[in-house]
Amino acid sequence: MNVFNWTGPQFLAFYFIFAGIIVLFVRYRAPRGHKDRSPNIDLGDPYLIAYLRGGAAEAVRIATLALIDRDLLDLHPGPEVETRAGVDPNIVRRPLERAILKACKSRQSPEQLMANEDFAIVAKLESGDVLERDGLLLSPAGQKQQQNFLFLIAALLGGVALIKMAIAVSHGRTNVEYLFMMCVIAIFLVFKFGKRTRTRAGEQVLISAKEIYNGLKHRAHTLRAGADPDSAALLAATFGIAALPVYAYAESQALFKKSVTGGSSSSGCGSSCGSSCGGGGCGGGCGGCGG
Amino acid sequence: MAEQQDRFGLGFRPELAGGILSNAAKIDLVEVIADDYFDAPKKKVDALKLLAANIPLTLHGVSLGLASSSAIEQARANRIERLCDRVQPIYWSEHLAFVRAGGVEIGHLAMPPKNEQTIEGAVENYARLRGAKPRLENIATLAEPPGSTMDEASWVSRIADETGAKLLLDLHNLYANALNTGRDPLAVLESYPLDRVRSVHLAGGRYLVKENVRRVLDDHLHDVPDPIFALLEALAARTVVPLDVVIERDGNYPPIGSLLAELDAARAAVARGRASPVAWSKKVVARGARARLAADLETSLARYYGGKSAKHEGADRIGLEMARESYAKKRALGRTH
Repeated sequence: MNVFNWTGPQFLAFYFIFAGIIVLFVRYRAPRGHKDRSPNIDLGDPYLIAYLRGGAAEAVRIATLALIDRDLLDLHPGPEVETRAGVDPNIVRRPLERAILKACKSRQSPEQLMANEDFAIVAKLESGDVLERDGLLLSPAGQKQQQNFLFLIAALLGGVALIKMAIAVSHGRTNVEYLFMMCVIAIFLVFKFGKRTRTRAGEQVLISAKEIYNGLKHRAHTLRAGADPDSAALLAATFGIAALPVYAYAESQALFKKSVTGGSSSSGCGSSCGSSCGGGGCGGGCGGCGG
Repeated sequence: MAEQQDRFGLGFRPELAGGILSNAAKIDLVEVIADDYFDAPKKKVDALKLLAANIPLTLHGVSLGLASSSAIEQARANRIERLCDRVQPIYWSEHLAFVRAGGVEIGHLAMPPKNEQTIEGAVENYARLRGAKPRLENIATLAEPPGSTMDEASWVSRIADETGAKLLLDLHNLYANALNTGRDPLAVLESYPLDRVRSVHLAGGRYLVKENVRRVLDDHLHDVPDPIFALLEALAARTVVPLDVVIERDGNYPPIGSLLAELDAARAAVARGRASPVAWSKKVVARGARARLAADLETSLARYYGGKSAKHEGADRIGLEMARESYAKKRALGRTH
C-alpha cells in the first residue's frame, strides 16, 4: 500500500490524520529532564512555582504583587508602582524583591517593570537555575535538543507533503493548495505546542502543586489584601493572578491585565490542567472523636 | 546517626496548606489523614509524595476499627499498606476504636467496651497488619461504654503490652475522658504506659450540656487549652524518648500565626518538662473478668450510635445520648469514612 499513489482526496484524508496524530503527540509529550529521581520543588517558594509555571515574567509579576500586598510597594493611578517612602530595599531577603524595590524607587509602569532585563536575570539566578538544576526546566542543551526534535518533525511533515505534491505535479495535477495549507498549519502547530520549557518532571510537579493548593484556591474568597500575603502569593504563583479574589485584589490585578485575562506563560501553552480535584470536601481531618 | 529530637507539627489540611508550607521552617512534620487518599487518583497521591519530600509526613488512619472484637476488613488494611508503600511516611497511626459492627457503620470513632475480648480483638487485628505497624491512639468518649470491666489506661496498657505497639497519646482525649468520668487528668496520665508513647496529639474542644450534665467534646475546632499544655509538660517530665507532637485542627481555622504560637507553646511545655524530670514507674495491669460477649455489645452500640435503634441499656444514658447526637451531626457534615 503506497499512500503516495492514493488519489488527492484520499491522500488529504490520510495527511489530516497523520499530521493530527503528530501534532497531538507533540502537544502532550513533555521532554525528559536530566534527573531520574523523584521530582521535587520547595512548595513554600511562590517565585519558584511562578517561574516554573510562567518563566521569569511570571516570577516578576508575583513578586510585584507580593510586595504590594506587604505594603512595601505603593500602587498609583496609571497604574504605576513605587517603593513606599522609608522602605529600604535591603530589608527584604529575596534578591528579586530587592531588585524590584530598588528599581521602583522611581515610579514604574507595568510595561517598564516587564521590560526590565535585570529582573529577568535575577529571577533566573534565583529560581530558573534551581529549576534547571533539579530537572524541572529544560537546560539550554535540552532546549537545543527539543528544537532539533521539532525541526525533525517539521521536516517529516513537510517531506511527506512535498513528495506527494511532486508526484501530483509530475502527473499534471496543480491543485495542491489544500495539501500545502494543511502542511503549513501542521508545522505551525508543532512549533506552537512543542516549544516547551518544562520537562516531564516539571509538568508533574506543577500538577502536584496545584493539587496541594487546591484547598487554598477554594477558599480564595476569604483572602483579604494584606491579611495573609504568603497564601496570596502562593495562590497567585500556582494558579495565576486571576485566582486572587477580585474584590480584594482588583487594583493589583489591573497592573497586569494581560495575566488576569489570558494567563501568559512564556513556556507556551504548557499543561495547566490538573486543577480539578475533589474540591475542599476532602482533607477534613478526623473531626475529633468520642462521639 | 544524629539523635532524634522532639518534633512539633500540624495536622495538614487543604485550608492550611499555604500557611504551613510558607512556614515550613517552623514546622517539623505534618500529619495527613490517610483515608482521604485511599483509592485517590494518581495525581493526588503524587501530590502527597511531593508534600512528603518537602516536610516529614505521617499518615493517620481513621477507619480501620482496630479495637474491636471483630476482625478488621483486610481490604481496608491493604489500602493503608499500599498508601504507606507509595508515600513512605515517617510513621503511620490509627485509633484504638471501633467504627462498625453488626453491619452498621457508625461513621466515626467510638470507644468499644473496655474488656478482655476487645483487648484480644485489638491484639489480633494488630497482628493482621502487614508491613510497618501503626502507633496506636487513645480516643475520647462522651459515654462510658457498657460492658467495660477496666479503666481506659489499663485497657490501653494491656493492648500496648501484648502487641508491643508504640502509642500516640492524645492528651485532649485523655483530658476529656478524665473530666467526663470525674478523674484527675494527671493521675490518668501517670497510669498510662508512658514508656511506650512516641507521638502526642494536642487539640481543643468544648463543653456539651444535656439535662445539666456537662461533658467535654473533643471537636478539634478550638484552641488548645492550657491544661493540655500542662499535661504535655508532665508527660515530657516523665519520658526520655523523643516525642512527635502534632496539633490537630479540623475547622474554625485561626490565622496560621496562632497555630504557630501554639506550636511554640508546645515546644516550651516540653522543654520545661525535660528540664524537670519526674520519676515514673510502669504499672502492671492484671487480667480482668470476662464480660458479656463483646461482639453483641459492639453491635448494640453501633446500632444505637448509628441511629438504627432508639434505646440502649447502658448505665451512662446521658453520655450515650450525647454520643449518638454527636455521631449523627458528624455523619450529616459528611465526616464519614
